[in-house]
Amino acid sequence: MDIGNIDIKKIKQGEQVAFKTLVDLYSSSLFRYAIGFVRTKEIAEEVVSDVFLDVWLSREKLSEVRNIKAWLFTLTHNKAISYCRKTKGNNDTISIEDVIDYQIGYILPPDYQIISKEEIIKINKIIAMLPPKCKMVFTLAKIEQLPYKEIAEILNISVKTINIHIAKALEIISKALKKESGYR
Amino acid sequence: MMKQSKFMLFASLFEKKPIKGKEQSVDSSLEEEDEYRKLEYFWNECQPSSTEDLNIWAKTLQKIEKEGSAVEERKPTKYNIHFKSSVWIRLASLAAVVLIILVITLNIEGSQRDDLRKIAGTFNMNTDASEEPDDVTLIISEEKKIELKNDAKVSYANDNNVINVDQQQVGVSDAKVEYNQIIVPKGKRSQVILADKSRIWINSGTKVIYPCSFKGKYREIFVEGEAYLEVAKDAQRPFIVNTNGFEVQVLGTSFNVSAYRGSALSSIVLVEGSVEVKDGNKQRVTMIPNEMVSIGEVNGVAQLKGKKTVNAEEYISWIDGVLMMNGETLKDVLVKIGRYYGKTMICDTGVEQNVLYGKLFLNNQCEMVMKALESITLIKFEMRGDSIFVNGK
Repeated sequence: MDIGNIDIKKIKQGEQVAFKTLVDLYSSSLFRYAIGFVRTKEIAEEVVSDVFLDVWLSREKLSEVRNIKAWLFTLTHNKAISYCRKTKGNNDTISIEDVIDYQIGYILPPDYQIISKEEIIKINKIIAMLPPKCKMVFTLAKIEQLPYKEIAEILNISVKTINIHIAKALEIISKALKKESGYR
Repeated sequence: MMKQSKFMLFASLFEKKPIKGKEQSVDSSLEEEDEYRKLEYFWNECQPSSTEDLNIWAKTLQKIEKEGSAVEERKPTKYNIHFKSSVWIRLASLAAVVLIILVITLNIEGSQRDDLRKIAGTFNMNTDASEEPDDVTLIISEEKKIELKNDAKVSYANDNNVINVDQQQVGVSDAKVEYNQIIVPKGKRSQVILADKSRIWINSGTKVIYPCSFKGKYREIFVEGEAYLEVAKDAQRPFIVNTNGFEVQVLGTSFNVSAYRGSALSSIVLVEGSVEVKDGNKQRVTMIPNEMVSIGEVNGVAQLKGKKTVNAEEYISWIDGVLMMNGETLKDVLVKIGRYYGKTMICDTGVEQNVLYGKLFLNNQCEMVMKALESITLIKFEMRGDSIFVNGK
């Protein structure tokens, strides 16, 4: 686990320094995930700080949480969706899946030796067109590097489904790369 | 179908599992190997462009404070507890002594920030060491200067404008009052408790300028020299420590700032909480506890030099009269001792790079401290008036 230097006991006792270590460790990951739903920096910050406020207020129960990282992502996921729901009005006939879209930040390679500039532009376009759920899975698996079992818990779907989502994304990306070399 | 299963295999290979399972390999043609290599590279090496500065901690803290004041008593830090009780003792034993009328009026707009550095200039900060007073001096106005004994505690009450020194009332601040200054010469130390209950330990050879009460959006003070601060929490009004070259902004925290005039390096060591340091080029750096940020001067402009992890306790031990030596050179240690006792140190270059370890207790006579030093490294010293000569054995 990568929460090595976080002292849950101290957080439970109300020590803000220990709590800040936790906040600092996960802030940018949760922010990246939240902004995919809410789009603007300020709102994403609101969502994530709301999550941490909840964590602080329920710190007594912190040691009961099996996997803090996955739990934080779940809280962020739920908060972000309820925010979107609120702003999109209450049209009961549309399910959540239809209302919520998800956007992935622009992905860049460290250099263009293996993947060219044109290829990365294409890949980003294709990722943007994936179904929302697939994009969420993709973000959590690739960008946040969570194990599939944890992603399954956060999104409330099976590990098998996650595998299918990722395989699908990989296939489409791979096709795009092939076409690239074929056409030019 | 063949394709689907191939990508399913890739999907499972790319998973970041806590414990790596057995190595799997892909049986495939050369073309497919290239395909896999690209995908793997994309998966492992390519990331979204990094996010800009986030305000999540500050926002969370604000929400907690808001919630906290409504739901539960905010837990004071260990220092706060100690501090609160002593203030009450002091308030309980008030004795009216003198009434001082303060004449310095520098108009402040409630919302605007003062230029503390300019104000520091108006206080005629003497750069010449010979002008330095012999005693700790509290300057309330051009006319009113109070000499204090070593280790005196000055405190400002928020509600009744009373200024206390060692539990004795020495004055009442006027509503028009702006800034006071305290000068702590070499060989002396002092403490100030500000109107917002923030506490400053002031080391030898240091000047601090501060308002008698805090108005407006910011709480600002000026420090030249070394001070350790425990800033009272107030998320609505950031606390800013100005020095000649840089500033440190705080919400509520404990840290040590060392910014001596003429010293090549200034530093900030954070003990608790969070601070942001801004140098002369408006470069900013945020610190976490047990970090030290160094600042040097380049063409007369303070510039951030670097950040490293330290044991913060070592840097604040001077408030307890202890000098911790953790691999420092004799030269550095002598500078500190000289400042502490108000002595001039002259050290032989042959021994000034000797490395020292251990604790020196500074409450004793300077001579005792020098004897202790003699016992841990190969030197001998000779005291001549205010100068101490240190040579190799």
